[in-house]
Amino acid sequence: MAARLATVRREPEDDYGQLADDGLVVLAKDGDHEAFGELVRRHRRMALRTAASVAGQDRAEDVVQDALILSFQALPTLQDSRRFPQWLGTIARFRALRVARVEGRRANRRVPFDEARVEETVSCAEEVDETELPRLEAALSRIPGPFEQVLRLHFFEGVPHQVIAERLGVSLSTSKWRCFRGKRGDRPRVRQRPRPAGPFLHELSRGPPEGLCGRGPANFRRACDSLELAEGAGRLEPDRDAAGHVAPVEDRKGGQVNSRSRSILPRSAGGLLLVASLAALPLLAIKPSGATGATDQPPAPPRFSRVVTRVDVPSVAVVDQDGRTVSLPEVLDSREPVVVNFFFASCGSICPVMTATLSRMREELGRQGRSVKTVSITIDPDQDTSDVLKAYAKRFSAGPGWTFLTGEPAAIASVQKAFGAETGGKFNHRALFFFRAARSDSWVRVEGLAGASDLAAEARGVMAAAVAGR
Amino acid sequence: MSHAPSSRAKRTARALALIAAALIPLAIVASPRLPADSPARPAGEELYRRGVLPSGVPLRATVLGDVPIEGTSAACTTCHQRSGMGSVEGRLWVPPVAGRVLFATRGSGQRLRPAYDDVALARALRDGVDVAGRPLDPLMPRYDLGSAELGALTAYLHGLGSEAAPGVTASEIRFATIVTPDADPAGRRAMSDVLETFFRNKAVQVRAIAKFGTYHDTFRRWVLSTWELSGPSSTWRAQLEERYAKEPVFAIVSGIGGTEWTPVHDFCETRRIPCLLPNVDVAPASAGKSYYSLYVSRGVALEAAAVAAEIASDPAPARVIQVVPTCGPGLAGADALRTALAVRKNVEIVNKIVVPGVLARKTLAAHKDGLRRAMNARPGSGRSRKPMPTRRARKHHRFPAGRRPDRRQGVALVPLTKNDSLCRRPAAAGASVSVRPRRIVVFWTPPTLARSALEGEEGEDPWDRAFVSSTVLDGEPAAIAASALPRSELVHPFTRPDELGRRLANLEIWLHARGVPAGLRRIQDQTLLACTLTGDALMHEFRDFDRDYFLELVDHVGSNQTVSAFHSRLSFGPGQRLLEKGCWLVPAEGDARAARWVTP
Repeated sequence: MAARLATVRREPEDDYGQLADDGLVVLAKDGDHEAFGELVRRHRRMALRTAASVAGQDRAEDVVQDALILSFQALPTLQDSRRFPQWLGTIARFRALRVARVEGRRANRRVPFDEARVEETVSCAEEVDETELPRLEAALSRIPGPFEQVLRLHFFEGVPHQVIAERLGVSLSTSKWRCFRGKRGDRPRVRQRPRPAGPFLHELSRGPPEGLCGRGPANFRRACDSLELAEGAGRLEPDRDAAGHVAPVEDRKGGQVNSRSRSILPRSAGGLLLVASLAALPLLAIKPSGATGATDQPPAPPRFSRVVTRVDVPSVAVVDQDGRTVSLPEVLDSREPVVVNFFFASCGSICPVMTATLSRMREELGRQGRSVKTVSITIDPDQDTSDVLKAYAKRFSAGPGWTFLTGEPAAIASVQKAFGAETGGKFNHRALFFFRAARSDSWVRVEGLAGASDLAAEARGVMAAAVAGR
Repeated sequence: MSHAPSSRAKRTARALALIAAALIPLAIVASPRLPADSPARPAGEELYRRGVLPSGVPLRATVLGDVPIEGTSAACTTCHQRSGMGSVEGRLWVPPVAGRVLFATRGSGQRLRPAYDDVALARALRDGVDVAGRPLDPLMPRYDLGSAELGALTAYLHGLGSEAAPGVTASEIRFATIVTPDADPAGRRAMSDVLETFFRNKAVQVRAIAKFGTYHDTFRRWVLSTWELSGPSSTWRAQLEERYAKEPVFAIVSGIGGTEWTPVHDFCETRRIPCLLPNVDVAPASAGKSYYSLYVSRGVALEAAAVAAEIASDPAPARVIQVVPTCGPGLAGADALRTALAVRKNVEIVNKIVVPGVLARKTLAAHKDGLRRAMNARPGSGRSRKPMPTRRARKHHRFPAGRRPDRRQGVALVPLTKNDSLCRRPAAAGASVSVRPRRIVVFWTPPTLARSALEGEEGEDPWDRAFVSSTVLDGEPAAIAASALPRSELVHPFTRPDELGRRLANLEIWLHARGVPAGLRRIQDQTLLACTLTGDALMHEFRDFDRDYFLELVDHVGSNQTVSAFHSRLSFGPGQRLLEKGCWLVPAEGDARAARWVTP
């Protein structure tokens, strides 16, 4: 969340507060994210009310989120800067109408959520249907050139119609028309190709599947996280029960928010930038002077959360610190208890601490600890070759029974995904530990900076489970 | 905290002057013994950056209550960064500790944090209690420091980030770009087009912001000077020093060179000037290992390393034929590969040198031009106003008279082919005659022109496996498509070819919207990337203009934002200085998605 850097160093006297809306719009059109942040702060409530009146209170948040992103994207097309609130309201209303319609259709297929089962079954992995990609590609390739091109530019690259029209030398309405016809799967009257998969392509209006757009869901999660932060930081902290265990509310909610709103995000490189910066906007709204004493001392939040989850370990080949290629399921052999974490060697802040904590945990467990296999997986495989890992292991005097893994970026990405540890960027990496007892496929996911004794307690738990299982 | 650099410098100078007299009681043991110029600073620097105590013992501390850490992990720079401006990771925010921030009051009202003094700092480091008596984050280590060590560290923190950044005044910030005499003129033009446009746009933006006023003091007018070097490379250093003395710059943005960049690299490292992503295909040997120079990749050396790793992965004997140009990055790449393979006993290396000549180059250009016209994708010209032709039209496109690529001509224009006997090494004695070595061909020139260089070898395509350097093709999709050979792989340190097309559309829209003429797209793209990273990093730098902090921010923004067509795997990390650390091996036959990513 790069843009946060700027926001946290802001001084209280610097405020866009004095500027009128139209001034802010001009600034925001010039790419000033802070100005847009101020606009958001002013008109978010209005948009929320509009959305809630159409799509209901519980969907309003998502709708407004979508509307804000859309409006930021389309800001250059806003003619009259003074009418920004009305314009945003219209976007929110249309967005809400669409969501209400789609949700209505989905409602028939919905199954009530069983709260009781969450403790065991929450998977943090993002569900993306990759199998749809070839179908979509095939469908696209069946559409005549000009239509396909506009569709691709508009939906995958996030290019506004005006720019497409300019580039292709056609009028604005032609561009829009081609997009519309292309989506419907219509063909011009020339008979040259078989019938395209029209209805499927119509789903483009809800956005293409993940993967085509070159943007990870993690960015989106970040955006959601920070938007929630703006609404009330309390909600980010999961509830704790008497035993100090945390109900996995956060993940569940995050997942839901994610899957629905992901669809309309911009597809382009610029889009990515936008998402990252949008993520920071609301932070500005609530802490215009973030870099103050209070941030130095957070009011002692719970240091970590604990969730039971299931992980499908992907069968990919990885490389250990000695340069040996091994299969990941073999390394994570289910006959022994395992602890897994994700790190990267050049990291400042949390990774060295995580590694040191694991090292200390192993010391604390003493002789017992050797039966817990420790596996540290890098999230920066390009940089962290096996030589780098070896040096890193030496730096923390990691003994036998502690494996450091790297591999092909795609393989590592799939592992991160399976564990629900994808980050979208090295700097967004969180502290995560996973424990698994022998002969089991349910993992304990510990998120946050737990101390060595906390981890040791967790490790004893999985060892005890291993003994009980025998 | 919004001091102009000059007043900040004065302030810190004053602070430093006061240290000797009014220093903390804790440091009293250390400071009186020190001469006025305070050599305590290097000791403090060692402690801050490397976690080594003046006695040479690694620094020890406890974090999260019960986890011991030592040495580099415990060094301040790990979290607070070299500049002392702190960092952000995930949800973790590390506050700045540079002297001018730490020893000043921050915030107001409930968020007020009083200024630290030296006693409060000692308390924070030892007991983990901040200046207002609140406990610090458990991630902040608790240190067990002696008073002398504490004194050294305090003195260092007072000085940290106190120097005014060169090239920054109250109204402008100066950058330079460097052009060496051996740079390709076309590439040069492509680079300066983009740079000029970006800087012009920036000026418009800054003017707009200055009008509204609120943050105007954080924005400065961007000024660019082009430092054109001349003469032999041994004189470049002196030329650079002269230019720098005349007009100091904050950073060097982009730049273009031929096969020699080391003098510029050394200059930037000595003068500690950030040098962002120069367009060099032959990076200096220390690229990626030094602090101030950031490169796109190691260039042809990376390709050579990838090919060497591929050849070495099979222990069977091999005969490697390199098709080498007489100059340029291809030659450097071939040299790197030869060096890398020299240690392998059962690999025989033969270099075939071709002289493509001016005419051959023209042919390639015509060929590219033809494809380009066929795609009708060049913005800026009058033609681009037409809609893109349909696939059908593209297929039946008529080349303008005389512009059709002529393959025969290409072959005829490679007249000189000779076996480079100096490079040939006999196969090792151990290699048995009965085993026929694998035949591997590495093309360091556009292969369409160089194929005739292999005349005299058995068979039509005399190889079991071939590698084609993508850098010498400028990564251009058209050139890549034109050089597909059977059983060959493209060594491609850029965005995978199948994704390149749609990413290029974005670049072209950017260029078109700003009226930048068409040119070498890779150079344009890389230059734009350098500019964008600079802009983003400076935006986050706010008022704290500092070169180290700037580089930390570049690491940060360069790690997770994709803003480039040719480089979609932006993966800077803390202290990492190469954007691309590996390359794709793309099979010429079949699907580009089957490409393998190798990090040699």
